[in-house]
Amino acid sequence: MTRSPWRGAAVAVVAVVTLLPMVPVVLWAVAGAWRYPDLLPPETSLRGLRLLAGDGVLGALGTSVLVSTSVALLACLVGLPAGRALGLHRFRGRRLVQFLLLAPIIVPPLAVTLGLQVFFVRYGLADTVGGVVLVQLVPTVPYAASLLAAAHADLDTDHERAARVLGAGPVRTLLHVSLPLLRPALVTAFLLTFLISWSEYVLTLLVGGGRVTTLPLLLFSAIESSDRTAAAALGLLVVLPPVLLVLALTRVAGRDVAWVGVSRA
Amino acid sequence: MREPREPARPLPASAPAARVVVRDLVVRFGGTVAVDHLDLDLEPGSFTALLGPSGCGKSTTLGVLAGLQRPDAGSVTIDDVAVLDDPPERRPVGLVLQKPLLFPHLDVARNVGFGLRMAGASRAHERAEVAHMLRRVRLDDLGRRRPHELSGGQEQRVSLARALLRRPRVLLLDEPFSQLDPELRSEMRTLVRRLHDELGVTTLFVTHDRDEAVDVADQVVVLDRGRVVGGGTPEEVYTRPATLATARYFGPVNELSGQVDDGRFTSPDGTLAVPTDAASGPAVLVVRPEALSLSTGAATAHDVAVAVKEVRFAGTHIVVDTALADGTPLRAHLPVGSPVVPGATARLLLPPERCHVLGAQR
Repeated sequence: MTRSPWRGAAVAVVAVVTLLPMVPVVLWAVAGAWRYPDLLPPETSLRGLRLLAGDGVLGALGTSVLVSTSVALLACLVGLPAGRALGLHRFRGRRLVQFLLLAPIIVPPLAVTLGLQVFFVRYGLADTVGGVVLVQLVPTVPYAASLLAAAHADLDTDHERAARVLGAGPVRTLLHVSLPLLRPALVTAFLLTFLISWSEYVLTLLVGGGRVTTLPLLLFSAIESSDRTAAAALGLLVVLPPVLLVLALTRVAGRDVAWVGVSRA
Repeated sequence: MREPREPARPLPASAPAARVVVRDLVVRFGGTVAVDHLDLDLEPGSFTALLGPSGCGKSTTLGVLAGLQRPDAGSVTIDDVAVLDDPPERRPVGLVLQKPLLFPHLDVARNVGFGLRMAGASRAHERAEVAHMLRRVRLDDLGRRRPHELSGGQEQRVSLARALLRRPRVLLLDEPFSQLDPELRSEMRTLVRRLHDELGVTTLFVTHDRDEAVDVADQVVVLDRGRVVGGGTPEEVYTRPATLATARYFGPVNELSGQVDDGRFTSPDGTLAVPTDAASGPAVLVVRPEALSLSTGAATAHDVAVAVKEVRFAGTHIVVDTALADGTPLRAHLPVGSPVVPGATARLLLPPERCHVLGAQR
């Protein structure tokens, strides 16, 4: 690749646009009293950061990690066969299936969930972590399936046939050949669905009934109570895990993850 | 890498070559018949070329043998064991296709060892066998390379090594070298032939290239529109083809219509008489251009008078296009400097032992 002066400029612009909004958040998180017309907080306070060490916050962090990881894994698990069917086969009604698969993200998920909630209550899934994971599959599976359908369209299934003739049964062919070939798409799908789940608020509140407390729930209640220091501190905590995850997966998957390519610039 | 989960199933050092028998094979794709009641016999340790134009059903037949294609009817046995109900992974078959299909996420050594790993071989056994096989295909130093770092010829050699490492009893090759340049192709043919001779594996080589088929195989089977139209040793199919289609497939051939009576072929004008064992009735005599020579002596029953139409220089010989009195074209390849000039007449000798008569029912 040729080095262009524009590239450095582009990286700088991206960095500024991404990082600049974080500055007031960081300031708020460590601010004591901070009023107009002070440009910077006149005094610092550890109240916000101490708040993060509290019981409720750590519990919410754990719940968030559990829910989002489960949602991302399940979305990939469900999206894989769906993506395979859509990406590899031309069958009657394929476009209809494709549309139905995308419908949950075309129709606002809130509307879908209001209808679904009745069933969650009936089957005892309301107010449970399992129920929250299940309902978050609604806005995540469409993305996972679409991504994996595109990946399957590029997959050379002759590799799978070659594996079969080399003595690998269907399961081992999947594990040793198909999944490794689909790894870039799987990593991307996992990241994307994890991030969607990570910032999900409405669905968690509706099905979790306030008993399943994830970080976004805490964040929203802090914002509602106008406690800017608490909101800013929680905001930092919400940002951190996804950033770490993206960095870790980019390191693992290397150049595979195309859409976070900026970090490799 | 973890230890294999399945108990090790040691593979025999050299599996005995298998006899493959295909009977009455039919494969249809929608309304079209790709393979039409095909019979095929592969002797243990033989090297057979399956030859035919594209779309003649040769690759489909190979797919059936490998277990990647289900036939509509017929049977396939490998050493008298019916295999059609076995999935590909349970057949003692190795397959190399036109595309090398190396697994891009594995290095060369791991690609070659794939079959052994799937059979549950130990890591040490795999490593030893892979090193041995890489030496056989002369890629000793490339074990750590990634597939995308290889040339086309190297990729295809890795693919071949990978197929052979499982010690298949039947090796199936589907135009494996057709994407390589000509020099490399002949080198690869030599390699395949050498591997076949060393390992003694029954080999079926699908190609549309008759020179390739003749060069590499002991037996040639010619396919046309899903049917076997000829077979035998390369020399037999070339000089004594079973059908006109086979004769034409193997390059330029002269065809003279005539009549067979009592073991003797005669041309319509009666000047030519060639002994034959073909049945009485209308027949076609086929003879290759290079079999013809100029006749200088007195007229016999084995030569014909022709009018020379055109003479072209072709390096090792001259191509002489002539016509019989009735207009039937006759082409001869004659030594450079032969005394023929366009517009003159000449007598061409058709040696009876190099003429082949086909009954008209074909």
